[in-house]
Amino acid sequence: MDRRSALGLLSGLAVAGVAGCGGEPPLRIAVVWSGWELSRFHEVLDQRGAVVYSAGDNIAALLVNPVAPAATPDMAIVPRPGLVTDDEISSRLLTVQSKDPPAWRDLLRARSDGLVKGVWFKVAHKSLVWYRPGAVPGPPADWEAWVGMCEGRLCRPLRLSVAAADGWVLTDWFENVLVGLDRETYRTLHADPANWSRPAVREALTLLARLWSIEGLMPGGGRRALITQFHDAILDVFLYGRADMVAAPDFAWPIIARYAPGRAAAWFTFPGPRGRAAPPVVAGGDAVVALTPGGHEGMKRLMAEGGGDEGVRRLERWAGRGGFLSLDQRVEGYPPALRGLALRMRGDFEFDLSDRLTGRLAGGAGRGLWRVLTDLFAAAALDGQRPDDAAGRAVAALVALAEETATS
Amino acid sequence: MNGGDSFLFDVAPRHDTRAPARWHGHGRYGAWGYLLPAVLLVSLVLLAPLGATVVASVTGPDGVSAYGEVLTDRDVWLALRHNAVWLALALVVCGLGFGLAWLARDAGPRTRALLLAVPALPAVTSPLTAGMAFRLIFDANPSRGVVSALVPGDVLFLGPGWIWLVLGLAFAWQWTGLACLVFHVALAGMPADLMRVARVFGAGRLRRLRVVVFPALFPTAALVLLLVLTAAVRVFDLVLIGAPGSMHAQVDVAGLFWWRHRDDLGEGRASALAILLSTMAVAVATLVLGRLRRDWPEAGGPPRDRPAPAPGLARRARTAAAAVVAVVWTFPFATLLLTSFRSPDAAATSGWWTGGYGLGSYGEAFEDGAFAGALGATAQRALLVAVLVVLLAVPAAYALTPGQLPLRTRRVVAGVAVVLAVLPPQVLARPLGEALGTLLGGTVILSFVHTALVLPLGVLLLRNAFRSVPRPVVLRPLAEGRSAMIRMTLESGPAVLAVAVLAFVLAWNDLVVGLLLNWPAADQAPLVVLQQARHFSTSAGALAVQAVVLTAVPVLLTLATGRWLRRGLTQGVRG
Repeated sequence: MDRRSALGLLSGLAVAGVAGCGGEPPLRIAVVWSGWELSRFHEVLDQRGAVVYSAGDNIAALLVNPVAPAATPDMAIVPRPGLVTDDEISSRLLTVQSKDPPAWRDLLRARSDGLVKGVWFKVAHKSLVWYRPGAVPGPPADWEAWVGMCEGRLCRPLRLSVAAADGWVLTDWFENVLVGLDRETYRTLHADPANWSRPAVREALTLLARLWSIEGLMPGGGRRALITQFHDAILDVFLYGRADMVAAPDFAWPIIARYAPGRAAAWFTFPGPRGRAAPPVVAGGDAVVALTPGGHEGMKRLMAEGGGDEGVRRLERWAGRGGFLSLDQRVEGYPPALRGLALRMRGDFEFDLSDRLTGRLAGGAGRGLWRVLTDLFAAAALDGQRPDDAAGRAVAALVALAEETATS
Repeated sequence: MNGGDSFLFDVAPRHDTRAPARWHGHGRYGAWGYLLPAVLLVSLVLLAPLGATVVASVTGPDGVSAYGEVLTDRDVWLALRHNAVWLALALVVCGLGFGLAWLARDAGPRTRALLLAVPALPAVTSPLTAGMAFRLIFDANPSRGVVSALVPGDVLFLGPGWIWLVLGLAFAWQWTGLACLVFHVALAGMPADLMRVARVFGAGRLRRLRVVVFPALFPTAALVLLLVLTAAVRVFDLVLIGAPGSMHAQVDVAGLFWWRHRDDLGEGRASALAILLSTMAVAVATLVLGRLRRDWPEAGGPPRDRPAPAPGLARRARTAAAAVVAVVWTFPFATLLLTSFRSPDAAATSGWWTGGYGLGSYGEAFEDGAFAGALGATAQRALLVAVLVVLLAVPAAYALTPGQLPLRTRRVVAGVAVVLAVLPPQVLARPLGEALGTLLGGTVILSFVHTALVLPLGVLLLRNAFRSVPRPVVLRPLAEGRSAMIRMTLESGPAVLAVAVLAFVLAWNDLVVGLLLNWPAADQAPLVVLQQARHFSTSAGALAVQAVVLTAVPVLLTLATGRWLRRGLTQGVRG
C-alpha cells in the first residue's frame, strides 16, 4: 500500500479506536536508503506499525522546512551531521542521551546550545583499499611505496579500479590523501573556506593527479574509469579480475559477498605519506534523530538502549551481512573480513569532509567538490595533462567555489 | 456576412453557421462562467507563481542585472547551448518522422499498421524509461551491453562525446514515431488531385514536394514541431538517468542546471534562469504558433484504401524497411523486458543473451514496498488528474466554441493556452513550494498542480474537437436556450477520452514536478525508480522490472483505447 495512504489509514484507524485499546499512532521514520539497505533496515527495525519512508536526497528538505503535521516523521536517519547541528533544524530535534564516544558525540551537538541532538546509528570506515590477496604482494608501507607498486617499479605493475563515475568516491580519495598530508587543514576546510588555498590542498590534488595519470593503471584506461560506478569498480576486482585493488569503504563487503562469493578479499588501510605518522581513519556515518517523544522512544528501542540483548541481536542482523559498523561495543558478529573495523571507529578518526561542506562546495553529481575532482580526474587520466597543471586548475576552481560560498 | 448570398446557387443543402438571431439563456457572462473554473485553477497554480518568479528575478540582490549575471555564467551558457542542440535534434526527429510517414504512405495495410503503431508507442513511456533502456543497451561493459559486445574496438558509449549519441538516440526513439503518425494522417488527408495536377503540369518530384506537399502539411508540421520542440526544451529525466554522474556536467541542460544550482544561485538568479528557460520554450511555441492554424490535423474522412502497389522490388524493399524499423523500435522495450526476467545477479553481471532467467528481479523490485506504494499513489494521482482535466477542460473548451465568447477573447485565451502549455515546471516550483509548504506530501495537492499543467493542452485539443461538431447537432439546444455542452461532449467522445488518457499518461510519467514538489512523501513512482538508480548496473534487474511496470500501464492504456484515441486526436468527432 502507498505509504501516504497507509499513514493516513493507520492514523485514521487509531483515531477511530479500531487499532486496539492502546490506539497508539504508528511510528513514522524517514530514511535515506533504498533497495538492499532499506530491506536490511526493515529487518533491524522490527517495530510493529512503524511506517518507513525513503526520503532519499530530500531528507534535508524534510528537516529544513516545516511540513504537514501528517508528514512530519517521528524520527529520521540522516547522513550529514551538518544537518543535525544546523540552527534551524536542531531547534526542531529532541535532545537525546548519547553513549557514543565523545568525538562522535560532539559531531551531533547543536551549534546554538551545545546539546546533543542525535545518536550514530551506523558508521563507515572510508580509508580502506580492498584487494585480491593473490594479486597484491602485500600492504604498501606508505603512499610512495603504493605509487611504486602501481608503476611497477618493484613488482609487476598493479592495476587499480577507480569508480570515477561517482563523485563521492573521488572525494574519499581526496580526503584520505589530504588527511595524511595536513590534518589541521583538513579539519578547518568545512568551516573556513579561505583555507582552500593552503599548499596542502594543492599538494594532495597533485599527488592524486600523479597517481591517476599512471599509464595502464586502470582497466580499460581512464576513459572507462570515468564511467565506472562504485559497484562496477568492485566487480572489476573481485568478479571480472580486470583490476587488482580498489579503494572502497567497508560497505564494499556486501557487494563482494553477493557477486563474488568465495573470492578471497583483503584490505589495507589507506597509506599516508612517507616518514609521517599513520593518517587517521576517514569516517562517515548515519545519525538517528527524534522529532517527537514517540520518535525518541522508537530511537531508544532501535539503538538497543537499556541493555536488552534482544536489541543488540537485531542490530547484528545487519552487522552480520556487512555494510554496518556500530559504535556500540556489544554488537558483534561482523563478517570475518570486517572484524576489528568497528573497534577502530572508536579510535582516531576524522569525519568525511565532503559530507560537511555547504554552499557551492557541497557535493552532488555535476556540482561542487564532486565536479572539481571529476574534472581533475579527466584532466589527469584522460587528457594527459601534467599533474601540476591539472592540480593548479582544480585549486583555482575550488578557491572560486569557496569564495562564492563565503560571500553568499 | 461573407459568402452568405452565394448559397443561392448552391444545390447541396448548407447549414447556416451563424449564431441564431435570437439568443436565449446565458449570454456572454454565461460563457465566462464556463471558462471560470479553468481560469481560476490556472491563475492560482500557473500564472500567480509565474508572476512571483518574474518578480523574484528582478528583486533579488542583483536586481535586473540577475539576468546579465546568469547569462555571463559559463556553465549556464553551456546548458542553454545544450538546449539549443536538443532543439536542433527535435527538428531532425521531425524530419525522420516525415520520412517514415512517406515510407508508410504507399505501403500495404499490414505494413502500414506496423510502421505507425510500433514507433509511436515510445511516446507514451516516460523519458526515464527511455534513458534507462538506452543506458542498458549501450553499457560500456562488453559482457553486459549488447552494443559494446558487438562493436569491435574500445568505444565507450557512455563516456565523453559518445554520451550525446546515446541520449540523442533515446530522444529520437521516443518522438519519431509520434511525428510519423501525425504526418501520416496529414499526408492521407492531402488532396490527391492537387498532386495529379502538379504532375500533369510537369512539376518534378522536388518541386511537387515544395509547392504542394509542404504547404499542405504546414498545420500538421506546426503541431508536431510544437510537441517535439517542447519535449526538447524540457529534457530532464532522460539526462538525469541516461548519463553517469561524471558526465552530468558535460551534458547539462538549463532545466537540470537550475535544479542542481538553484540554492547556489540565490533566489534572484535562479528565478532569472527559470524565466530564461521559459522564454526559450515560449519563443519556440510562438514561432510555430504562426503556422498553427488548426490545432490538430483533420483526417480527410475514413482512411481510404489505396490501391496496393504492384508486387515488385520496391514493395518488397518497403516491407523489409518497415520490418527493420519495427524491430529497431521494439528493441529497447525488448531489452527492458528481457532484463526484467533475469535474476538480479545475472542482470548485474552479464547481458540478456547469456541466460540466467528467472523472476528474482520482480521479487527484489517490490521487496521493500516503496515501489508498490508509489505505484498506488501515482495511479491515484493520475486518475484524479484525468478526471479533473476533463471536468475543467470540457466547459472551458465549450466557452471557446463559436457563439460563446467573442472571437477576439477566444483568440487571446487560445494564445495564452499555447504559452502555458509549454511552460517548464521549474519556473513555478519555488513559489508553489513556498505557498503549498504545509500541504505538500499529500496525494491530492499535487494532482491540482498536474491538472493545471495539462489543462491548457487539453483545452486546445477539445476546443478543436468541439468546433468540428456539425452545427445542426447543437443547434436545437442552442435555439431552445439550453447549453449545448453536454451534446458537444457526447459528440466528441473520442476526443474527451483522448484528453483524459493524455492527462493520465503525463501525470503518471511525471518526474520533474514530483522531484520539485513531492517531498517529503516522495511517492511518485518514477521518483522512487530514480532513487533506486544510484547504483545503476547492480540494480539493473530491479530497475528493468520497475521500468516495465511503469511502461506497461500507459502502453496498455494506449493499446486498449487506441481506436478511439486515433479518432479523438485526428478527427475530433464521431466518424
